[in-house]
Amino acid sequence: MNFNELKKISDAVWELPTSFKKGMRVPARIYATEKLIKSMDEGVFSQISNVACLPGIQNHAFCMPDGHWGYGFPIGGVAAFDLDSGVISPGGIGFDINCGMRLMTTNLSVDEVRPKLKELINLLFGNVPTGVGCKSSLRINLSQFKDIMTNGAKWCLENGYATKDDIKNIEDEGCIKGADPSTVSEKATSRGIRQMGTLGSGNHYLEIQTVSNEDIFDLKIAKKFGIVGNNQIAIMVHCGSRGFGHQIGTDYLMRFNKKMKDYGMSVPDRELACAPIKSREGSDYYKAMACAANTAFVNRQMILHSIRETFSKVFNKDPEDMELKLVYDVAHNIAKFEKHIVSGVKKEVLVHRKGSTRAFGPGQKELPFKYQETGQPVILGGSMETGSHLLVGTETAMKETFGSTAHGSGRTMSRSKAKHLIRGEDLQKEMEKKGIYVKSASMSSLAEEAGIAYKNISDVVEALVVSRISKSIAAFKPIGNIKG
Amino acid sequence: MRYKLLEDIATADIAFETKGKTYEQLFENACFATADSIADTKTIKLVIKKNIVLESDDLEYLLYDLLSEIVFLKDVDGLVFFDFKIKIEKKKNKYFLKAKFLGQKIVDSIKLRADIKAVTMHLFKIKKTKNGYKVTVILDV
Repeated sequence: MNFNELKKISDAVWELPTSFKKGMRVPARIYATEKLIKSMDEGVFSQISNVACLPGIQNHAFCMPDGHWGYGFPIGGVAAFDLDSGVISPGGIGFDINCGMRLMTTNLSVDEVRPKLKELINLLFGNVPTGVGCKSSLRINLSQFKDIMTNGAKWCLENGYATKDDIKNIEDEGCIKGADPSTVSEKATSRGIRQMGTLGSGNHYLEIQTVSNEDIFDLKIAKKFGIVGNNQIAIMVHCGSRGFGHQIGTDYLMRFNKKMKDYGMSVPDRELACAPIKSREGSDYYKAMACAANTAFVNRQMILHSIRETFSKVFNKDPEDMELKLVYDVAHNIAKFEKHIVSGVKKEVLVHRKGSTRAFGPGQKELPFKYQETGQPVILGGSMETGSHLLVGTETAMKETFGSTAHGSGRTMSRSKAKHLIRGEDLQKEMEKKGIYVKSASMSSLAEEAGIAYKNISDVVEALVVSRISKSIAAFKPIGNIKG
Repeated sequence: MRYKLLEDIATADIAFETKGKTYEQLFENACFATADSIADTKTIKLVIKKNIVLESDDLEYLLYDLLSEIVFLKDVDGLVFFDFKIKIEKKKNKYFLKAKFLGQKIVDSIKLRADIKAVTMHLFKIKKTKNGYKVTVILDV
């Protein structure tokens, strides 16, 4: 990358002008500190400028500071499209539709949990299926699965797997409207029907964390979110729609690739295959994507249910007594119809976020009532060695990035390179010495997720804070983790 | 080695390159690389043979569908594979593929690796070489 081609907009915003690549319809903007921009993957510049070539794109194509080389969009990519001239692209969402984060708090302290940590992690590992081909113990029939696809987390409430408060604290109350099971293939259904409440593998995890007083950066907002410090125990979950969403992505990627020429469209990367939003294909994909997004909300809620049962067993208390509460659940691989300002006018657009979290600022009516004053909680999942962050959305994000921010710390190293540098067994021992007990279904998968494979999450947070698209609230340190 | 891992592309995923003197060998090697990414093929025994029949007028889409079958069978039937026998015939402008996947259900003795989510089309291209063909594949992890 020739950095002379990048224009510095502000301390943490950089622009690739439309002259960077033939076919760019809008400039691309990358949110990063100077340190991060200099270490960005070459693929980020190539992929975000490809996104800027898509029909109907509005304002700018964006990449967040945790951005890295993905497929189609870069990871960290954000783009909004005009509803009449714009497109929808599975490559702007990812195969893992509604991969997302969920944060829970408790009134337990690290002193209470540490003596039972191994028992807790071992039991969680048994109760939350992880790893290759893992299956759920939950038996549901096709009619129930279609209900899940259509109604999302409400199904959990109706079936005793959620509280009313849980539902309020999920993005869109755990249901994206417009889901239609008739747009989903039998293959997708057969992949997903036995996977509700499973974690998967890769970078997906369930982590027990602690928050100290010095890791709270905004006491007032943290308190509103239920974060009080004093080495309080929190739980974070990262996973998505599992094989169901992956198959929908696979099905529609092929369908869009075959159909694009009929719409007179071509894209610089076949993974960016797309269709006009209002076309039959575009509309079908949105409806199927909504089905997958709703199953992902249910998947994470079923995991929360298993967490509550496990904590109850280990600590011999009711979940209510431990105040095991959901702070928020956010999607970071999704496309959503939202209203934003474009050229000074508020209009509805289709915002694609791939490895990017919605970050709505204060006053947005889409947020739960209790978060309308503060702005939306943003959960930034870090590596299992270094910890994670809680931030909040801002008005700047609403004005600049279609209300979007980062989603994690972002990888800097390929999986195979990480495995050359460290063995899973050694990493597990090293982490235990640091006070982090980790249990994984695969040692090679564990090595791939070593902290050295990720950017420093503090650098990512710094870029978000300097650019003002998010405000930092608290940091969380891991003490236990289960992985696929 | 039947395939080479590519370290510096698609940071969070698995990228590999494989070759073959014929399309059939290329497809067999690409299947092997995909299966080896899911589980260590050396730890998988021959218990089940799975027959797959596919057709397409595009050779790359045919390979994409074939590799996606490996991912699909892992989730639906809990199957992992270690070897592949493939026949491809071209009639008029269409390719007809018959494949035999050799493997078994996941058991504790199998060394599992990554729960591959999907086969991507990023950089997915079959290229002609001096001695045959090569392809780059990126698997979403």
